[in-house]
Amino acid sequence: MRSVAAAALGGAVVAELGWVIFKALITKVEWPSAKLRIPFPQIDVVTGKALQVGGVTIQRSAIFTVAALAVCAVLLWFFINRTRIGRGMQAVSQDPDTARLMGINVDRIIVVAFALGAVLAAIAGVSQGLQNTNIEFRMGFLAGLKAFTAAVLGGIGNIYGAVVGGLVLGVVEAMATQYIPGQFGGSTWKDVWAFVILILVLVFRPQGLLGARVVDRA
Amino acid sequence: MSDVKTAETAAEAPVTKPAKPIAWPLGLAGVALVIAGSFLSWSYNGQILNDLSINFYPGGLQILAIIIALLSLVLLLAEKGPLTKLGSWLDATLGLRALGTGLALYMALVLVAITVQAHGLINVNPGGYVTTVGAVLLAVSGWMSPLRQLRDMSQARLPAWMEILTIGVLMAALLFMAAYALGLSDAWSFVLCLLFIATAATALFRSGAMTFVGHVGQRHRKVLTLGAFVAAFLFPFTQNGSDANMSIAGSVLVFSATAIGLNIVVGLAGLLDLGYIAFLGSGAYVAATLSTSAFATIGWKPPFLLVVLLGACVAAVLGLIIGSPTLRVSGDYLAIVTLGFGEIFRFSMFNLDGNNGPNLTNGPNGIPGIPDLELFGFNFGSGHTIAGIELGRFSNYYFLLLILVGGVVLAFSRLNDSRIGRGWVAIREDEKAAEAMGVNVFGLKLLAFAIGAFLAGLAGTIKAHQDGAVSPDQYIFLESAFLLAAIVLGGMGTIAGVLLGATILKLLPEKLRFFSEYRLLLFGLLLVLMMRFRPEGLVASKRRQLEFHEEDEALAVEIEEERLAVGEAK
Repeated sequence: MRSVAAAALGGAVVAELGWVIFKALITKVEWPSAKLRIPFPQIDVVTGKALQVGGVTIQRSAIFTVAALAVCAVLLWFFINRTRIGRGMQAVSQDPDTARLMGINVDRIIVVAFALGAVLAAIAGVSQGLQNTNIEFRMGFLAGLKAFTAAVLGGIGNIYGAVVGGLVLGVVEAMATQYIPGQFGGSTWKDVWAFVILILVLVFRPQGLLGARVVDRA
Repeated sequence: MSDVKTAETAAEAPVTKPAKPIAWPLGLAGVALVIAGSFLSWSYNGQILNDLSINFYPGGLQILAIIIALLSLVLLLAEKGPLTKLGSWLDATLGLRALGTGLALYMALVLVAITVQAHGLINVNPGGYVTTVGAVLLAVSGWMSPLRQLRDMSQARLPAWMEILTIGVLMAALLFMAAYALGLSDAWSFVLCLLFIATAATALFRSGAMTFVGHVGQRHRKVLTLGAFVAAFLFPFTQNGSDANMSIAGSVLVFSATAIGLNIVVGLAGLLDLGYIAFLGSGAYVAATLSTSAFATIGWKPPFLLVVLLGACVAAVLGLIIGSPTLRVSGDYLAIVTLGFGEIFRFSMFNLDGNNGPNLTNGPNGIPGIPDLELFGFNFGSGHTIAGIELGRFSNYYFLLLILVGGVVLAFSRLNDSRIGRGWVAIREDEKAAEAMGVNVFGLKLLAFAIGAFLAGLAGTIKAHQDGAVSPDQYIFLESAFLLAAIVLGGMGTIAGVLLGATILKLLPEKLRFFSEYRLLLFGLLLVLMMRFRPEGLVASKRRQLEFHEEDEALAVEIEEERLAVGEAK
């Protein structure tokens, strides 16, 4: 009983000391504000001086973005079609129950799919940061929505579709800014047009531009 | 059939696990210690938690501890002692466990609060420790007591006047607790008070007292509804008409009305809508542009009753428009369509400022200076005195919004019980089967969107006048997400659940300033935990609960019996 009391007392003293030290430390730290825009690190190879190719100015970050897109698309295609996990992913997307019966670890596949998606999104985030030079914690929301629009536009479950959808969406946004007459064509309306396209595509061609496979829309 | 039989034999056999003889006296000792400790001083510093530093004069939080101790005493005496007659009805052990655990948590938080605010455990006075020990003893005694077989609560009957009295007492207790909690300005006290309410509520539910109240409520449905409304109407009088609290209450009511509208779409028809705040926004913008504000962009100034109708109808038309794609898309895709619609609304309101489009909304500046409502010669901006209590501007809007919420609840419950409501539920459960049974799926889906949007538009027109300004950044996606979270948290398809969820989600950030910085983090955590441990929501409709607990045979039997009983009653 005495040892218990001694332990309790010791614990209280240690907790007290810990608290005091914690307070002392925590007040010393200067916390950055999360709401500020943070400059993105500039790397000379990818953000240096713009290139001049036959009278056309090309930003190096744009080259990085396109190259990243190409590399990611090829790798992803390879991963999905040529590796065991990728083929498992296809099986799970078609019929999880049967896939499980065939000995595929469905939970693991799903985890891998989420991780893979996050990796690709992170790469996109890096190219976004290189282009904008400033980053902000809220910038992902609209980008994520646009990403979904692009995926739906191209056809869900189709890698080429996602690429094509993204390109079409970007071009349409730019064209809307340029060519829609009157006051509704300004750059502030381009996001509206993106969502209008999303809704129109979902209503009139739910399988997307390239979607041959009929997706069972939950 | 076999399952039912085993259930019956289980009911006949007494529970075998015997009580530890020490449990009951231990509980009594715990109660005594808690009460004794609560009369002593808890903290050395009088500035903390509304002063708990005086001996023999319990402060607010100490009184709450005493209330829990007294409740535990009742349960203990019901187990063994003069109240044994109650014991066969009340599940004393489960209630005691909830009370003991809750009180131990409560005391632990009190100690943490004192430690954090006064920089050290040294500032806790002996009373705090005595009460903590008592709370732990209570919890231990609860967990040592045996579980028992109970009688069916639906057979518990009291004289009618006593049952009505029970409802009255419950409503009064609710009113008192709400007023007390809102009156606390200190964040720690507020959190502790919430913990007390949660503990008491859990104990009431666990011990079966709430089941009794539920049966009483079914027998006296009108009294219950009336009681709830009377309590809500009396609420401003408990605050001395405090404008700060009444403005919070008003925004909670707007949020609730909108959430109930969304509940029609999500909870009944099962259509996920992530852009719902746009309907509230369209109602508000209609009211603002047609108001007599100097910044209103339309010259026409109709009377408010017409504006209400117009705003609601505009919202309903928008609902029809956004509902029309539901013929082709559903599930996640519908969620994205509605999300896109919400964003389109926000961007449009942002851009219709005269530079990027026709000047309708003044763009990001919004429309400020919306004057107070004036209905039938009654100006909502002016305060007045009733029974010696000064009721301000926000109390007036509170009463108006209360009537609105009453109407919305009425509309929801009537629809829910009607042919239309059953059609919605059929669509929610299995769209293809419903269609095969001759349910007009597309029409009903459109109707759900239109009615939900109509209700939200109604709330929006009042909200515009209550806030006095509209601006696009009030109607962002996050608000839609919060509406949805309120429904999921409270329980889909129920009224009480949605009201509770809306209150929780709107009240907490308003009341806890330190909390508002972390509210997204904490709400996210809360929702994840809810989905893991109680996916059916706080107040679950029984049928929906069964969807998440398919293997729960007892629950299925209970629901079936309830259905039969309702059928017989009809």
